[in-house]
Amino acid sequence: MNERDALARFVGGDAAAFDELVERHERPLMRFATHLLGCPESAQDVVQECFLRLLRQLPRHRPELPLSSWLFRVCRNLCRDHQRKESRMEERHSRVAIPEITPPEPALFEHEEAADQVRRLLGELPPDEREVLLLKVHEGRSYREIAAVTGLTLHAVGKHMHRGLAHLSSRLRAAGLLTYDPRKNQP
Amino acid sequence: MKHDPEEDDLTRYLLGELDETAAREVESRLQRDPALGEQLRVLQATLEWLKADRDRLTAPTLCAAQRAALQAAARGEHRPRRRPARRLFVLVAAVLVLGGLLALRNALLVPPSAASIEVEPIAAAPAAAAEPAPVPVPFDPVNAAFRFYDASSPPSAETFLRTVEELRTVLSVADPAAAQQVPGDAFVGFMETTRAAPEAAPAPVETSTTPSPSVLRRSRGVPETESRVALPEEAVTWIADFSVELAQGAARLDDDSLAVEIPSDPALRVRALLEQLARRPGETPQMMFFRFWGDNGSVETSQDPLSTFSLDVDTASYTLARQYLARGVLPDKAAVRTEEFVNYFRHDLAPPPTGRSLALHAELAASPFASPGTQLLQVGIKAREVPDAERPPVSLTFVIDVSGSMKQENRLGLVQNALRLLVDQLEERDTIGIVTFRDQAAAVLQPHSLAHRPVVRAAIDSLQADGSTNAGDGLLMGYQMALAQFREGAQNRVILCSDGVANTGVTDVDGILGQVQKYREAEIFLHTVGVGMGNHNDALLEQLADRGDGFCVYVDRIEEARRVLVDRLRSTLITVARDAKVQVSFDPAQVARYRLLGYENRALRDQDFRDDRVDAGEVGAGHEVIALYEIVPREGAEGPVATVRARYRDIAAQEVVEQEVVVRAEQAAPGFAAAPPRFRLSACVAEFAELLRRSVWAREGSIAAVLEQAEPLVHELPGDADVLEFVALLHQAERLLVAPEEPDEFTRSIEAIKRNRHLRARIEDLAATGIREELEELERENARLEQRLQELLDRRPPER
Repeated sequence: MNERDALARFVGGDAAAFDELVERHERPLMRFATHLLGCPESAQDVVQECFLRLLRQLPRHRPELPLSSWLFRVCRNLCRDHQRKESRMEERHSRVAIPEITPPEPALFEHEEAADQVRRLLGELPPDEREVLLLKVHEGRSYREIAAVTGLTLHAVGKHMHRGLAHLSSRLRAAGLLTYDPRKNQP
Repeated sequence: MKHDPEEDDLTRYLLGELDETAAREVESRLQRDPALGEQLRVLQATLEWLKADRDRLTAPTLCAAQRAALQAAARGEHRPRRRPARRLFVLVAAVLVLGGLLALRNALLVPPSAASIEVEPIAAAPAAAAEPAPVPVPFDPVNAAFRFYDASSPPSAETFLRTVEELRTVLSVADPAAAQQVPGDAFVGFMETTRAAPEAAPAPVETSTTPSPSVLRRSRGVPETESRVALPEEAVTWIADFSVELAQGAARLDDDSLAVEIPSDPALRVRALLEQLARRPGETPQMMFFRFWGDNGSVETSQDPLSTFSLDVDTASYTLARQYLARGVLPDKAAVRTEEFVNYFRHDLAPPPTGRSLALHAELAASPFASPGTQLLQVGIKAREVPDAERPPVSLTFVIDVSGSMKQENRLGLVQNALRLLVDQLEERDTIGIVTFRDQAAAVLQPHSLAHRPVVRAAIDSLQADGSTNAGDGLLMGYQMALAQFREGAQNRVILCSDGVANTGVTDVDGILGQVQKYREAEIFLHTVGVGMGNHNDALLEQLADRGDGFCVYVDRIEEARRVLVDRLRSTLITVARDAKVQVSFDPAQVARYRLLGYENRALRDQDFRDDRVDAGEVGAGHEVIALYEIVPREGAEGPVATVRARYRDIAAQEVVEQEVVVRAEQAAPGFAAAPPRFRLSACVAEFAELLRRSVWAREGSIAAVLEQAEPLVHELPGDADVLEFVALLHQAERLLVAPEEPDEFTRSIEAIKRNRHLRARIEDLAATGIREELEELERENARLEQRLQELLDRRPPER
């Protein structure tokens, strides 16, 4: 499906075109938001709101950004708002939750313990670093796209990316996880 | 961290973000500088972890209702509203309290849920006009929760609509705008669709509608005769969550409530209330106390010097509570069982002498948490260890839930990993078989000797979750498999791993329990392993294990699986004592009152202690079981104050054994601080449980007081990670456990009446002469309170 066509079709009155857009972007956005928020329910709220904002924007939407970058940017901002609100409202949510995520394919990833720990450590990184890492590794975005999503300069993206990876590696090392390859060493 | 811009390039290089020239530049630096190479390797390994994490993760999606909401919005029909859940729930709870609806005692028995609501309501599809008008029934969240939750089968469309209607009715009184927001409309659309195309809908499952006893107890004449139109799964989950949260929230607001039907006429309502608060024929003050406040009461030794209960080695309640607290949520108080909290911990009790299966211990010290003069008596039982070489072979049949709900939170993955750990522990003389169940049961692995480890492993790897839950079928097939392969001299066990939600097949609990009992008599015992949180049906799994003479554990993470299946494998699988009971006989001349902490659902009749036909608790090799009593010794008590007896069927000796130990007043440690650390730990853990239960006995207590006693234990019991974790949990709970708000006068009056009535019952039983006046004074005070209650109710706004 051509994304620009879908947009045009929707603006032209074909409501089903919007469903296609949702279908297409839902999972990456959910993945991103779940990681950032550590909570699938909140992620659902945020992602739903992303699409609602798109709806409100759409008749006037000028493609300054590719749609997916635009959605990611909205999603990121909403996640940040959400976190600010949460931390204000309820101190108790300061927990670093391990997101509840549907299970992996059996046998793909044997040691859940270690994997959960990796996810927890990732969750402990400063938000800027976490975001750029997620966008790069999970979503396969280029530095340039990430700059558009986050509003950072290219240089800053590079800095955060490297720092994030370096921070994470020292934490992994402290946790004793760097000594083996997660894919090859089965426990 | 010092920042070096060139290092950024290393990461860029790794991520393929450099152009050709820059990449070459990095490569030549790498050749020159081995340290840089090492750095790259580390970054690469980190990146691999991230990728592995990415691949592990199946992206979650919006829920169907949200997607439907977006579709509607795209068609310009309706804007989804903000989710009204929280506000609505507080409001409903407030209405309930306002209305004096006290029907929530039983709500405490509803298993907890993850308590999150995830549905944006979309505006109504044309309301179900063709539906017969719902019978106007006063909304009762307990029943509502139960209709959806305990009955376990998907609610029918009619039932659901009626609940939505009821909710609206209640709300319309308090806040008409909020009533408009009652979520649920989203599902009306679904149901309309389902009904419009019945052939497309899943074949309606004719389920047994025999409700469990608990359902019977709760439902009040709402006939369940509608046709069964299956609701979408999201709807079911959502309803369950919503109802349970509602019930829990209301229960929180009104802690000491009673099951009572409230008529609308205020005068009648007061009468109904007071009737509930009256002593029932044959009811002991102890029973009355339990009915009023849900805790074991304190017993006058002169009235009842004997306390009898069945042993409980389960620990699921603690694990479950821990899981909740870790997420920043208080566990439902009904799910907190004090004895399971205490029994989770190591106690380092001395093992029995050779030839005995159980050792019986008793320790005494002042209680730091109860009123001055109160002592804590710890009864401890330690089962003999069975060395690996001596253990009989085990023949295990796993019955594993692979329904859709097991996909959540990686529940099945946890079970698989637990099984893998177990497979490593077992030996060639042991066998393992696997049955799975979703909507139907399937034999995945016929019993194999562990000599064929690869076959067993492959079977474990092959499990995948999807579909509905037919636990009854699964258990049945598991039992058949176990029976077909029954090995004399081995420990034959069926192990049910599930989140406990049976939604198809035999959903009536009694039916399943009956099966379990039948096979127990054939010496095939049942253990249950609970996983998952959202719809973890803790109560059912506990009941099943209890009936199957096995243990119930709850596994929240892989460490716990290791603890249960590796560290404690022998305790779990080798029973050394069956039908184990304890009876403590207090000397009325020495002890004024006593109170057993926990074991509320394990109480036995005193006369059953020596009746060996009565089913009681099972104790595995090396198990430690603790029971705590608060006792109030009389002034100048000395010598023997109590005799503790344990009676059980000794598996090795093939006979019933009774042991006893005498507790003497002089034995008491001089002050709590002088008691052994493990004793103090038990006291702290029990108090923690009582606080989480919001026990009436812990009203004066606080987490801070527990922390004061518990924190030094971390140093005194070094190397026990459980203690460390316990202290962390205390801190966590301290943040969450806020002091209840000052109750209003209505609640206070009811509370005062309860106390007076209970006191009266105690005095009546003391049957002493010369207290007539006191009784009359109590009566007069109650009359005044009743009068006041009536006035208060008259001033309240009328309700429908």
